[in-house]
Amino acid sequence: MNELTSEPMNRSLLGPILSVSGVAKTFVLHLREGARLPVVNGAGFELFAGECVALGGPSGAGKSSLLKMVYGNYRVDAGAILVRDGAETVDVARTSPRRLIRLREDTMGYVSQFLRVIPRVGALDVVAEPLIGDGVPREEATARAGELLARLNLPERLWSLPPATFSGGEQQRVNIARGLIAHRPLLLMDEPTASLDAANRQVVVGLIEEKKRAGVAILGIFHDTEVREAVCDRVIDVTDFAQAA
Amino acid sequence: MTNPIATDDAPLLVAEGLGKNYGARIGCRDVSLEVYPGEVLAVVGESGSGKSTLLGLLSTELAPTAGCVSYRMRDGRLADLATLGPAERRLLMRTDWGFVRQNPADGLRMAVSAGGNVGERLMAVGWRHYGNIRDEAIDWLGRVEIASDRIDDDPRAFSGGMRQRLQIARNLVTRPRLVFMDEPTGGLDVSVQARLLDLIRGLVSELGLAVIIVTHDLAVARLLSHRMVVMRQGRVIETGLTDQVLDDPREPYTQLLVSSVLAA
Repeated sequence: MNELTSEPMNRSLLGPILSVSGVAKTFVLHLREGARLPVVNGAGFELFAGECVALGGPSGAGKSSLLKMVYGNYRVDAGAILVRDGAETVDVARTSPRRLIRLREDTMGYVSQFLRVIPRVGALDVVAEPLIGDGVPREEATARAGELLARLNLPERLWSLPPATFSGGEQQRVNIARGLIAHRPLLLMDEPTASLDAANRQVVVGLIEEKKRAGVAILGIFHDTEVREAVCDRVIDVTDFAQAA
Repeated sequence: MTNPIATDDAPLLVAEGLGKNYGARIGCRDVSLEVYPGEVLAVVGESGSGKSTLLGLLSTELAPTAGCVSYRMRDGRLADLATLGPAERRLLMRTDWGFVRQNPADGLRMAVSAGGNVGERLMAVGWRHYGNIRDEAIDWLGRVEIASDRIDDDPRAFSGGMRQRLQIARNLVTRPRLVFMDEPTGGLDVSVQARLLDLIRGLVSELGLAVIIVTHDLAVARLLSHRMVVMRQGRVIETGLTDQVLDDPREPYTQLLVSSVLAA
């Protein structure tokens, strides 16, 4: 993978990891007399291995919604979201729930803005879980989780505690570690540095750069200009996809 | 599992056009669904939506008015459950299935010791050696966080949360492939609920169980299930990935359900 990313020709020969075309989405709010809330229309772009692309545009332009559609968290009214999964290509907009679960397990990672806390599970186990799911022995998975949390400056005394009582920044670091610990060819990131201080933002920038070197394609929302300029190769303006129907 | 036919791509349980009428009243109608090995399916809806009737039909405790339920037997064949004899069905319930009920008193033998409650299921599948049964029972009590010195107490002396954990041990000790759960955390204090949910979550993934869980609590569905079925007035009105249905509900009734909870 590493050689490919240093050679753009090879990269495009392989084709995009993610290809979005003609995607449209409108929320229908039945509790508000069926009010229609258009989100995007005719959204289209491609994402290749080893590049990090930011979704840009003002709040409410639909960045987060688009990211959630790519992950299959929000449904799509029209268009295709093709994700390369090994030798297969999966259309997230149309595939079955079970295929989508497998795609998420093998290929597509998501770092959300907030950690969804699981009662009673300690931070170290929260972080190690995706690796254990990949079949890595528990001991090795836990060791790697510890290394990552140490890099993100999470005090070791917190590792065994469930993150429910952590501060926003501490929870976000647990969340980032969980999202980045396992290799996934496509990573979706929703403001991964929103509640972090400058030092930890730099750690995350370093982690994202490592992912890019490993050939991971990253699509994200990065409000922090400094972070965006450090890691992103280009910006897709989501307002281009707004309500043109 | 030594089963060459029932791969992950073959459903474990298939329901087709299931319906049940109670006289003129409709319990549920035209429900079709599939459950795959290792998959947790949540059935949600308000009281009276037909979700418990559906669970009764799927587990053959109720006889359908219409449709059928098939199950992938250990030999790989998909059997119409209505065609099984009573003995074969009983064996299935004791070995391959579990049923965790909302009220532990309905799923436990309240006058039998904790160890006996767990050991009984083992004896039903042919375990005979007392020492082995007791060791296995102690092991399972430990897995559901019941101290081994409580093995000879009967569940009447247990708290609600402990009783529910004992019911889970009793059901899982025979290593079933499919477990039905009817509001397993209903009526418990929030802290007790959290502990039980975490325990169920861990055991389900560790043992690779398929689970059909009926709950009115969307947070429980979010935490435990992969896929979700929303029921209203006896029908399935929306299905999909759990996070998709909860975060982007499409049907008016689902939108109402999701918007009515404080935090799901």
